[in-house]
Amino acid sequence: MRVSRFWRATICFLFVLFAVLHTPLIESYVGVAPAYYSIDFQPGLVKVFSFDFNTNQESELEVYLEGDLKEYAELSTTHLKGGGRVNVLLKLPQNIEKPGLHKLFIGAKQLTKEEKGTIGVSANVRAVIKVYVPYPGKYAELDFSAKSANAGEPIEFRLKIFSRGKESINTLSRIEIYDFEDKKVGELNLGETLVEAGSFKEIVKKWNTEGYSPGKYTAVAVVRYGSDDSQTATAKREFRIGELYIDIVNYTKVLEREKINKFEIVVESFWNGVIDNVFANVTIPEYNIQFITPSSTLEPFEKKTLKGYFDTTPIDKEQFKAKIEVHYKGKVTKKEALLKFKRKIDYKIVVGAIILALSVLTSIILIIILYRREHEKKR
Amino acid sequence: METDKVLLTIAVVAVAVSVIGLVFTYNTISGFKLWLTGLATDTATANVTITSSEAINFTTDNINWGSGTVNGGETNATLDTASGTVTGGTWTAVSQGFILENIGNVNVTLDLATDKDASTFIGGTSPLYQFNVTNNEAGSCPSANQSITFGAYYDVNTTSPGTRVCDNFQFTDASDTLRIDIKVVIPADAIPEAKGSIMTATATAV
Repeated sequence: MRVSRFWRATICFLFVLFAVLHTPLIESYVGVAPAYYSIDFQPGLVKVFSFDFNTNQESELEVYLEGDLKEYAELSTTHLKGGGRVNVLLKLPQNIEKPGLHKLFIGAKQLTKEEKGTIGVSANVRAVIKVYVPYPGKYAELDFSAKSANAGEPIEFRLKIFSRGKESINTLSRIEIYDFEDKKVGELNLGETLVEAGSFKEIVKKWNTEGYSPGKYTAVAVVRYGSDDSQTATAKREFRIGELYIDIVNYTKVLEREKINKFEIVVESFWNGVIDNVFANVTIPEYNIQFITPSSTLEPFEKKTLKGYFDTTPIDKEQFKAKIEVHYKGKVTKKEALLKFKRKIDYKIVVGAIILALSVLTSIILIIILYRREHEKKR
Repeated sequence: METDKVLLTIAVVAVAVSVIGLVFTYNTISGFKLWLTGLATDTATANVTITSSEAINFTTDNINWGSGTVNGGETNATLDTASGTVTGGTWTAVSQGFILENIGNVNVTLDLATDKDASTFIGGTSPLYQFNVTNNEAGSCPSANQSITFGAYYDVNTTSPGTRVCDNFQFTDASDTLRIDIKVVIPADAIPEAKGSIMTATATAV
């Protein structure tokens, strides 16, 4: 079946439009791949690490080294135009005294010419070579995360135990849970885990939140990896048990007379989910003023400012009451507000007062002068 | 009787041979199964490695208020991209700050620095050169990872790599953009000339 010229053109156009809409707008960018390498320390290691930098075709990049172990590394080039590959030759010493993570940064910064009359930008990315130097004996490091959830849903904990010492470790782990008053409200036993030297193990555990109030909590992972009391690693993470509630945190309190004012309301979500179509309805009953802010979307636990505008011309009092109602998912949070006007300085009164003061002072001086002349005449 | 025994023996042997033949036949057919039906019984694995990549992009990379002067009688003029206003001066208002996107596939830390501070950029008596950072897409820098108060103004930092603004600038497509607004206060006694400055954003893989 022959496709007509019209349809061929239409299909081509749609492809181009699709490609254009899905191509990120690239104005001034720098990128590098890979973003990092991770290695364990080996005495005397000699190794080459390659990084591919990319940028706008016409951009020039200054390539540099920064951070720990800089003195043991060499760059294949310190300048790139329009991107390119940089090789880093790393020659580690026989011994590094300080154990733990050492980071060597390989950066590329755009060389941007300053343009008079503008504030311009320069993008700079730094890739990382992470070198783990083992601790003597047994040593553990933790990577701990706690995912917030809504009331009644389980909280997921993820604990990674890294054996960073020269010896393997047999760990005994638990997670302690504290409420916002620092009171212990729960504990999860994670049992025993063997972690070989230089490797890690991940433990995932869920905590049932039924019966627990919404709010902020702290989870503390405690991992014992040796017989000595000091051989215990801990990590702390905060999480929240959410509830469907939006709080009114703050609002504009001082306004200007006889003009259209911007009225801001800061709201905070206590829900671990997106809440669409959040808006505020503000009324000033005494003057029959009402306005609604545009709808907004709140991300999980997000704080945001809703903005509305109204004219204060009809308001003659210094202070007046307003009612703020924030609407979301069929619910409303209400607050009564007391608003007032900014004090306006009447310059006419100020100038008048200054003139009066000067007049009084001048009069006093004249009186003194006249009195002294009279006195001298009499003498 | 003898005949019966012979017949019985032959029958037993025949059954035995049949069973053995059945076993052989089955194995042989199994071998031809693939050939006959195309049924794949072997397993294969596909491996793919996604290389980490780190990249940042300024989609809005220039702020230009044009030419202007401080209004007569005013001690200074304030130019602010966040509010999109110019007060006390004749410059053209700019309402768009810098937009910075994480277009890589790893989260990064973000530091901001400038080549000049308020004195060297603007000069005069009590100049101001400040920036503020907000999430252009919600969650781009989660509140737990914000190293400064988002939405608040801070003096620029000329010491590389600058002020740490975010410990975990996200790369996920719906939450990977920050907005950087600039506020300058130009005193009336600042030297009249075309002034320029560069802001550098440094991203480091987490």
